Amino acid sequence: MSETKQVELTSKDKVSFKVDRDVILMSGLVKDMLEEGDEDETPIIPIPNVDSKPLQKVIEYCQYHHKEPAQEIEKPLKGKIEDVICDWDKKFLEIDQSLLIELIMAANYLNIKDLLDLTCAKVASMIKGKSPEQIREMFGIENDFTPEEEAKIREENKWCEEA
Amino acid sequence: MEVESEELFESFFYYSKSEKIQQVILHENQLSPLGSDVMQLILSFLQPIPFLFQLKRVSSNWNKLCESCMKESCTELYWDEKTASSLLGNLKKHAKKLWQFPEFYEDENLLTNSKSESESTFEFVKNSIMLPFKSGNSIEYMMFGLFRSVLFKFGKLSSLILHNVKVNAGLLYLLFVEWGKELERIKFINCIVDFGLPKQITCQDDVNSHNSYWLVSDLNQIQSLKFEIPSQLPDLTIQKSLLIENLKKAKMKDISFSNCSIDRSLVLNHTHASHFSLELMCFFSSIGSLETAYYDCFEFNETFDQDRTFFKKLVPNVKFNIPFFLAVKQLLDILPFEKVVEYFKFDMERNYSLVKNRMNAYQKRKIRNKEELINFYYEVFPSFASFHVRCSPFIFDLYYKDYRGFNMLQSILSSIYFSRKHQTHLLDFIFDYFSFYNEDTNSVKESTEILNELFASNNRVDGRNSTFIVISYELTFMFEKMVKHKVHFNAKDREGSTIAHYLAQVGNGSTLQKLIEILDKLPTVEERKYFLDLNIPNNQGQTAAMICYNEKKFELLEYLMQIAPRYGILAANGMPLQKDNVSVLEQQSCSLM
Repeated sequence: MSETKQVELTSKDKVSFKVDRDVILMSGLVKDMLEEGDEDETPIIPIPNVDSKPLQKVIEYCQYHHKEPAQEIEKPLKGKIEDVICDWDKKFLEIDQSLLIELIMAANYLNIKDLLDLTCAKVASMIKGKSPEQIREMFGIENDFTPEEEAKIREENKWCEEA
Repeated sequence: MEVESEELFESFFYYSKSEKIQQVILHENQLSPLGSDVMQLILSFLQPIPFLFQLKRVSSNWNKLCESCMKESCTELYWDEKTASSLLGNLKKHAKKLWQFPEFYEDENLLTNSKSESESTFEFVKNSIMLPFKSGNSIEYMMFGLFRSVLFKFGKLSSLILHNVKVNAGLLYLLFVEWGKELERIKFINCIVDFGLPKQITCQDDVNSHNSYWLVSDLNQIQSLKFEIPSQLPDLTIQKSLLIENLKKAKMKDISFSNCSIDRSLVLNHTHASHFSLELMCFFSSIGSLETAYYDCFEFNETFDQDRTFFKKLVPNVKFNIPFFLAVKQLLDILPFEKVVEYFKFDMERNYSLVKNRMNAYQKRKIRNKEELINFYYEVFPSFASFHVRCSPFIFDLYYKDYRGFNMLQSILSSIYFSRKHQTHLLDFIFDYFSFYNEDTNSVKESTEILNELFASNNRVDGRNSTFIVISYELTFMFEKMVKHKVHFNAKDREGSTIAHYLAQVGNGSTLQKLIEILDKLPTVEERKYFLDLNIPNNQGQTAAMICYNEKKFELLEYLMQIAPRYGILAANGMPLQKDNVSVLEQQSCSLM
């Protein structure tokens, strides 16, 4: 048996992290890249969209959860997020707001479904109980359309206002 | 307003952490980079929220759009950059999969470090878009790349409509050199024209040519001009001459600019309209085969006549179509009504894709004299023209749908809701346009059938149709109009539900009551049922009453029992729905489970 293969991830701010290949395979993006690429000893994978701070958290998450698969978070949330996740995840989520958002973006970019679910559910639990108006305000959406669609709707409906 | 929303955010996020209450302010700018997919995911953890929960489809739409618009026979392309850029994240993902997003337009870093194989072409495009006036940005650049990848899927184009794009040398190079296929007609809507090409101009009092028309004070003195590549660009001789050559050889016959303008930041002390006209003239003069051209600039009244003289002098081969809606009053002063009406019909057919026979039928009833014609242009036309540009650019047709699968009626109805403005004239026009011709002939479908089809067409967004829009947005003013035109309320959505199921689901009795008030005026049960049949089952075999029962909307169920005799509402045992047999609903529901 050869020793565990490693992968080197380079963050946006040029910080390198060596991670076990098995661990980081939780990332769909990295998995695709490794499948495409050559079988280098320690392939270097640039992650140009993610800063070192969130990347470190991502690695931390993968290191724990590649052995302990995360439980699916039931939708819709019934109660607080803290009631439905494990203690490790609870502690993991004790982070400030901006890091949480960065983490969501990182999970989305790296295509780590469980982490994305966890972080999004966290934001969702914070939104929970707010009125549609408040949520609309917060996401900048109007009625039942996404911001993108809203922009399109607005654009499309300009003719109606102009006329 | 600013303060209010700030306060809202501040009061927004209080959450408990380690038994201490910590205030977290989640600013809009923190959430905005998340993108719609993520927002959708976040919201999926919550209970459905009215008007917030249909976030599933941005990306799936794109797939469908590609499937449907990329048929081999397709020779029309409509590209709205604003819409496309608002969906950029999703578009990129799918474009990559479907068409291999061209690499050198994809990476923002390439703007500073180019290392492309076809470097000179890349340089040319890059410079044309980005450099001349530093007006481009990376999003525009990427959108350009995406448009390029879409364009290359077409073997030829009979019609290309570009909406909200920058018309510059890079775009021309793409169209006429890189892509270089047959292109018959091009229409620019709401575009910023900026070729970035100083023109060589010869003036009457000055035999020496100017490098740029910025220096020409009196447009009347201009004798000739030449389309040239600006000196700001790096020396890419081959690309420059290729563009000029290909424009000369191009087979393009018709070009139009609607509601376009020149980049205002480029205009110093000169009038905007003059520069715009000159910019266009240079372009028109460079296309060898151009036969007809059209442009409406908003300074029409001041400069259009003057511009036309220039155009005739400088590009004599091109016939200019006038913006009829602006000239109608003047024309009525100098020409007989019949002649002007002919122009009117021609204009509506040519520029707005209306069908001749239908227009004739409409004109016979609605535009019988000068006053009615002027009235049409004041009341109906503005909203019609804007609608046409934005929602139905190729054809004004029963079967035309946009990428969301909205037909014209759905587009209008949803915009009525969003703008809170009743487009009564436009709706009347549509009803009339589709009905009148059918009154003249039996060779086409009955108008009721056509109108019912318009209302019943399900979109791709939520699989519902216009009838649902009327009901869910409570556009009650439409009820009588629909009844008058025999448009019923029984159209099914993708799930086989009618508006009755929808109203039962949400327990909206008041809207149902408003509809019933109107339908109650009809004399027979059969007629009422034609408009609203409350016995129709959905795909799960449930009727509206069963849904009321299951969802515990007892108030509405009570109301249904009350109107049951007038609308022939039955329980499954074939008896009229009433208190005695409500329990049947339970049995029915159980048997379905």
